[in-house]
Amino acid sequence: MVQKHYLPIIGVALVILLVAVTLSALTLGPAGISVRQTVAIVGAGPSNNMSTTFTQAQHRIIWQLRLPRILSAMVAGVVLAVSGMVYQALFRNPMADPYVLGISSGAAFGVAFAAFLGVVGGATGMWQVPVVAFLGAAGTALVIMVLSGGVRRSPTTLLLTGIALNFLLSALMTLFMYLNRTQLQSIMQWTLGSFGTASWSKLGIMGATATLGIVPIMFLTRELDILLLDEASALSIGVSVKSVRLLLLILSTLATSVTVAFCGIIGFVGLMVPHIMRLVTGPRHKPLMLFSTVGGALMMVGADTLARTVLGASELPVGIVTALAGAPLFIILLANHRKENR
Amino acid sequence: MHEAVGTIRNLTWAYRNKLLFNKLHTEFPSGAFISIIGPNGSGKTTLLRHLLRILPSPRGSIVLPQGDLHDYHQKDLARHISYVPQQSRLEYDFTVYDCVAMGRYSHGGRLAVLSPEDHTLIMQSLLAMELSHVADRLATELSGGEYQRMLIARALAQQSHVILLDEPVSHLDVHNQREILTLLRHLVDQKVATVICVLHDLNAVSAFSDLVIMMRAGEIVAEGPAHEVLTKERIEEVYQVAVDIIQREGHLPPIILPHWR
Repeated sequence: MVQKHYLPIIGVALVILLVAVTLSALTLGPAGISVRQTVAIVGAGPSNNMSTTFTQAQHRIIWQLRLPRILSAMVAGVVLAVSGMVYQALFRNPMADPYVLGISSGAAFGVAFAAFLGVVGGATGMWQVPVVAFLGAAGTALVIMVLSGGVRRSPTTLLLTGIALNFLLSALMTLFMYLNRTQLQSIMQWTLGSFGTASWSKLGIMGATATLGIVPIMFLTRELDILLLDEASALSIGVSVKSVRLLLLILSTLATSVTVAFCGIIGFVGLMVPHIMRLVTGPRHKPLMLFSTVGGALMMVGADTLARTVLGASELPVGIVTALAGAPLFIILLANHRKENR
Repeated sequence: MHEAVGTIRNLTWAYRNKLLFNKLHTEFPSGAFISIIGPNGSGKTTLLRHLLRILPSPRGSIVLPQGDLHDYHQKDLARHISYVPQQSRLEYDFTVYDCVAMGRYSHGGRLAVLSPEDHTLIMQSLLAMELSHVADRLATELSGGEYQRMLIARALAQQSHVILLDEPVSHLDVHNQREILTLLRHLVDQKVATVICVLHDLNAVSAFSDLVIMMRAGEIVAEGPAHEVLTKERIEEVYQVAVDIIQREGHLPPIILPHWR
């Protein structure tokens, strides 16, 4: 944890870094658009103005492909980082996040199952996908609660239940892929994560749900702090533990499921970002949430840019990049944490 | 004594088909240091947990000044009763100040902003518990005695009428035990709060309490001033241990000596 008076400086530095990374993300790519052109195109606005500095095709690449994609990555990064932070507090466990608990898999399973039954995909509208994703994620969250609720609810029990569900859901999705090979590609997409199909209309739905899920959490940071205490203490301090927990679970699950519906399962961001930011801010959720918001956006835009540029012409699923970057860093953090604490 | 901060009426409670309380009845007078004592498993902690509304509703009722316990909003309950848990340990790196600030939750609004009044009260609570010099330290770095005082400071910041404590000194050395119980006694004497405390050390009970409630197997076997409750015969019967009670001169409390062998 750094001294409190350094936090604004680090915060501003992170925001500047985010702007820089976003600008590079807009510029980078096979089309060869320069920074000067990028700035001019963004400045020109969404309607295609004729200009001497850029071509119509370049304008289209920035406004129809890269900008919605980068903004989607930002929204997904914010949602996953904040949801990870919430799950870590709810289950009083630093290992919790939407991916580990199986909530992301639940959402992907919902979409895969609906696609298997022919409910979504093809001619259906765009809003069905987030709905089935939410149903899948909420169902998974409910099963976690029920399975671990009968026993005295310990954080470990909850986590193990989530991990077991993750195994089950992954197996079922593999089964769908096996049974229905024509849909292999689209189901694979959800299990590995990608922003390749981002569009303004999808971004609209994602952004709206993310706002609906994440903004109320900003008003619950004090409760999140107190939930880190034992349940008796939290109750005696005045937090209605059961209803606050349920509310937080619904909010973060809603935001996560819609993100998964459009971008697939992207692991480690929800685990990593709050962890790294906690090293800066300490455990208090008010600064932690602000920093995780910026950090989540930063990490996801960076990971996606890497995913679509590192192989040149072809593209990596972003979930692979976050896992490759996230897992080793997590092991390092874990080692440092143990050294510090004991 | 004055009006009651809480009254327990016909409390009946079974856990896993085993009846623990059968029509328990007692009253907690305002402005007193109340000790709840009794052998392990006699229901002391369970009674506290009912007062905190942590357990499912029992039969019978618990009446607080503003009505039935179960009609209280969680924040209103927190403003009436605060709680110092038994040997809790924090796993997160909150500072001492942050921990005490949590006590202000039930007085705050929706936004997680502490008012100047909150800050004053937090500092006063730290000062009262002799912790102002460690306010910026991490709670995880405190000694056992300091940690316990921090939890009491949090309860003070909560400005509740009643502070419940579950064996607050059982894992501390004699010096820290006396220091914490003396601080609690001051809180009662200065009319800051009513203290209801589960204790094991009968000498501490006899030295600090105004009212002693002695329990055995879910029943209250005696309640009253320490010198009335803590008689040789009753202690020997309830605890199944032979004791000597040595009277001291003046107003000093007697010394209760169990026969170890």
